[in-house]
Amino acid sequence: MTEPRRSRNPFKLLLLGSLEREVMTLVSQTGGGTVRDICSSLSRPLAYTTVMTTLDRLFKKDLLVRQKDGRCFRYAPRSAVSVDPGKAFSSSDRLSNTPPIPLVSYLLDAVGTYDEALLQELEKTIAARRRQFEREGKL
Amino acid sequence: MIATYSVRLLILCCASFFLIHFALGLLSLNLFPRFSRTFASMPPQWASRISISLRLGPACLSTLAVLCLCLPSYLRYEGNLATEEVGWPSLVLAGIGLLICLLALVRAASAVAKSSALSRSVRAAKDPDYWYLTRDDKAVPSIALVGLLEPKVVVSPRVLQELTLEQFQATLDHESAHRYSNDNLKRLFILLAPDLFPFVRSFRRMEDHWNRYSELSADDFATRGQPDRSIALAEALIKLAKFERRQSPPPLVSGLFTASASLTLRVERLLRLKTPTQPSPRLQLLLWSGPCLLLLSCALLLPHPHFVEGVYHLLEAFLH
Repeated sequence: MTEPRRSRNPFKLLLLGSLEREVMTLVSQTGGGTVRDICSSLSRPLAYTTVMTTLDRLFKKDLLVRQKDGRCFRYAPRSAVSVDPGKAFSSSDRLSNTPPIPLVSYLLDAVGTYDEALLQELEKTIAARRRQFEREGKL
Repeated sequence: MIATYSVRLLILCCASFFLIHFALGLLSLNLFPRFSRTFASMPPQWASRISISLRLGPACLSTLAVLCLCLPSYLRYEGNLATEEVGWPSLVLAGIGLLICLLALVRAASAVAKSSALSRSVRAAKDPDYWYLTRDDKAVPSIALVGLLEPKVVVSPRVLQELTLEQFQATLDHESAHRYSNDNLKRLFILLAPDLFPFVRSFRRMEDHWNRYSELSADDFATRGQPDRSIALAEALIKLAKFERRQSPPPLVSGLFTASASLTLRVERLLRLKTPTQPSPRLQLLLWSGPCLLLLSCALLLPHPHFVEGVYHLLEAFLH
């Protein structure tokens, strides 16, 4: 089932970074897929987690829809949105409605927005790297 | 007579501040992309230093210019002419200048008030140690640095249950890095620095970069390039991210940049164990020579009476 829309700021539709534009163009051309599908279709090698984060960001900006497919998500372009990624603004600092920076330093920023799948993927990566370090005698 | 003299002085100072700040702000915004392209190849500490210098530079230099040039030249050469008129363009610019400064002050005062309230609510007593456990689990996130002048690391009891000793030490070291570099105080200065126009956060990208690179710098401090510390900090980040997402958002937290991107970037960086390189000597020379040249030129020009008089005539022309 498609998840409900999250983003309420219409300006976010126009504020795309270069990687977001690239991924958005690819999803529009191929019709979408899982993170791994999109990773393999990209012209340059990018980390799985980077593509996952980018897709998640595009979903939160309401440019993509996603459906649960087993343990991962399948992303697809939102047909109702007619944003040309090539014409989208690249600078995200022009419009801002965020509150000021707090005077408190946190270990993690903006709690409550982490994706379960992303955390699982990062956990696996850390465990693999720990095993590698143990094999190499670094730990 | 004194009142009109003072009002004219205020208008002149505010309008000059706005114009100088606008010009320097545009310069800073133009320079920033050139610097930010080199950020990936330099230590995060340097990247955060450059970001905050470019963010605070326009405000500091404009304030200095008003205090060292506009104010002395006006006080020295302006007679008490009550009939002197002020042109409407300078009035408008003074209004905008005053508004951006007032907004920055209100923003900073509000943040200080919130920070003090938070600090009072979580601090049980005067504690000589640099960290302490909070009684209220919901008041702050699991682990945070609270306070401006004598910041302390506030730890939720849940953290001690969730993290191993190694992971806990890594997180404490991370927060200690923020403490040593006075990051909370820097946040206050960022809030105090006005924007180019009222209600438009023109320097947000620099603030985001400073925030991101100060986190990476703190990560570097906590891990010191050692694999065991890197793995421990990465594990702690994931554990706390899982733990905190079930809580309601704490006060004063703002989404300055996508949390997932930040977390991914930090974890991937910790696992790479890449030793950061020093910036090129050319860049270091450029970074140090800029402020030195500016100070030198100020020291040479300011005592010169013709220069101050020249500034006065320029301001007079602008005022009318």
